[in-house]
Amino acid sequence: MAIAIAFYGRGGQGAVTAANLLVKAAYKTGKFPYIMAFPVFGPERRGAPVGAFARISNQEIFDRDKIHNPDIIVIMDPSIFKTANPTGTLKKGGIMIVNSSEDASTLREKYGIPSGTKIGIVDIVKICFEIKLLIDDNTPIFNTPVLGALASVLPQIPLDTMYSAIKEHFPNPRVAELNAEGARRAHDALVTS
Amino acid sequence: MVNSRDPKSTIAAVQHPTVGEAGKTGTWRTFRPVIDENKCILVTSPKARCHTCWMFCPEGNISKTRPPRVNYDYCKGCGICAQSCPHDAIAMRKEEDEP
Amino acid sequence: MTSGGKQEAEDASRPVPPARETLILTGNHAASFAVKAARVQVISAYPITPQSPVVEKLSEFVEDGELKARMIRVESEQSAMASLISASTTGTRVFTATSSHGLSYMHEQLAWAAGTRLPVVMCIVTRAIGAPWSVWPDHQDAVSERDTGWIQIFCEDNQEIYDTVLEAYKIAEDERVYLPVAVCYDGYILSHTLMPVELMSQAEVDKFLPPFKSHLMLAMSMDDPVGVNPVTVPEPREGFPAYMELRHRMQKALEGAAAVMEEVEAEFAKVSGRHHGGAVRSYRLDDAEVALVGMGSCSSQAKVAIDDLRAAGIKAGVLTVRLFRPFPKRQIREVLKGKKVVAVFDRDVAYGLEGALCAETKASLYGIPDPPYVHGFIVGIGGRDFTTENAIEGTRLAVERSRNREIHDETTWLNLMEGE
Repeated sequence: MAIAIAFYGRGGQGAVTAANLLVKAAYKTGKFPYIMAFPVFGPERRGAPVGAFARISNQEIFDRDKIHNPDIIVIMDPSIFKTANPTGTLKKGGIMIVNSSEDASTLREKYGIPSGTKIGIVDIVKICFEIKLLIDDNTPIFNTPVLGALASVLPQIPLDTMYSAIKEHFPNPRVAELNAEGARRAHDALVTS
Repeated sequence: MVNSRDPKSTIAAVQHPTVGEAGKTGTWRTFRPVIDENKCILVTSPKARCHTCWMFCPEGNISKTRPPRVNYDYCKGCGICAQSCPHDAIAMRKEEDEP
Repeated sequence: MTSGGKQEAEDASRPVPPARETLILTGNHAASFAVKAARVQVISAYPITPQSPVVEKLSEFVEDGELKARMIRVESEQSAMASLISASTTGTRVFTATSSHGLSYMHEQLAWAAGTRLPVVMCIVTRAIGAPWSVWPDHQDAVSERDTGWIQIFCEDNQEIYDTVLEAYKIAEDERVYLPVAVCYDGYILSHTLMPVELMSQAEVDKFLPPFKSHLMLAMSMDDPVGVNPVTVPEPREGFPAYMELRHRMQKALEGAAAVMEEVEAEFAKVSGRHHGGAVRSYRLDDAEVALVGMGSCSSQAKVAIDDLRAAGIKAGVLTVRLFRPFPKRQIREVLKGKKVVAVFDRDVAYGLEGALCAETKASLYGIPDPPYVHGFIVGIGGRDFTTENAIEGTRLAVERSRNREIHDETTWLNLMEGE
């Protein structure tokens, strides 16, 4: 069982950290002894479209190419749809997780997501402002809530395991707790259709 | 065991410096430096400090003594000592003119 | 790492290792942890993408007191290697890492390190060479240095990077070898990719890798100074080897290094439980008629194609060439003899000829009766993706052309833009 996940967002939103924490959590479950996480190779800029990728498997991973057909696509910033819409790359039967305040039918219409494609929607910006998961009181943090949303579509990785990966990443217990809370809220708020 | 002194086992170019490692280079000489003890300040003035020739000799062939002595086994006759002597005490003489 | 292509260690009854730790590390950091475990004493490097994180991590280790080493800050890669040559000459264990243009800039010093027979270990985080500029991976930088006298080992995953760096010191410092070793791995594809890496305990590493003795033993005595690398004349003098003899001895040491590497791997496997196959590694080759050959990311990716190829009736397997210098001619001949078709995937070009690995694989098979049909492919240059589909396409083409034993003097490139 091999699962490929692609994260798309903007530089600074934490797509790379999200991919890294996801594979660490996957590894912790013991069900995925083989994992890899990597960014889009090359220079990075804050605000520019970025991607990060993860492969998790119970068998040795020999793939060294890019992820062409992910099982899950995570859209951390819906403006990505306008620059490079990755919808067409999703594997048949896969799911798109979108951070958005809009509903599924609106997203499908605006960005050409076929009706057969499963969408999970969570408004991470709203969650972040509710619980003050913010940088400088105004910039939402996307990466840890995304992990919560992923836990709800990936039953192999329980939310508790996501918590422990998050807590290892943040040495400050207050910050860790806040990020874990963001993950929990996103997990509960994810609406799939 | 690799040993740089053993031609069979050595694996890199290693030089063990010794006097005359490259043969007696004094045979190359056309002119030889001859120190005139009547002009050398180290001899004429027992308290003077000089040894400029000793310091300038590129082959380290001049002794730090009073008067300085040239080791003709290795002196190639370059003449730097004669040029550098502040008291004009060193003359370059043709080899065949010397006994 | 015991499933799939990795061969299990022979000694299954190894004792439970003390205090092993598995970390999720990038390839670069896997190298840094291995260098720390090896108790390297002098590190000198100049930053370049995608190598820089290796030395950044090491400088953290030094700063935190976890690694007692001297970091030498230099103004270029040429100076990095020059300073390590001096340090290694006095008997210290040394390390550097570089990529691409940094490696090219070191070129002259690489030859000096090898010619002085110094066990310098370096990571080459492989990257394309300009012009034009590219920071992306291929094997051109490492392959272009193949004639300098260095041992070169290519890695397929991050665990292999960690293990190979430790093995590299053991091989380099073996008195039958005394040669520098480059541990090569794909920039970004491994260098910036997280994978699980099992670290050995410090006690295990210390036992495997005792302090090294310099053959020059300069550090032994200040009363007996020696000069290293004077001019050597064309003919031997007083029975001492001249340039030609010393170069002959270097080549002999390289010729014997593959066997030493296999010994070292066996010893490492006893300690770690991991064996990476020695000079070459086979994957599903036993019953195969077609062999896909590559190094690093190429051979790894080729393994993904095997199920599909076999389903399509092509009995294929993969040969990973780990040791690129000295080129393991015997090992390759033994594995490939009896195969019908060999498809070599090169992430480099010996410009004006063909892929370097392909040319050398062909040379290794020269003279054996009924040799396999060998066809080379140039892939993944400058970070271009090398996909499973490319591996399948190449293999199919090689099989097709083998039917009439077609000879193609021109190279075949895969995954070029349409119309190229």
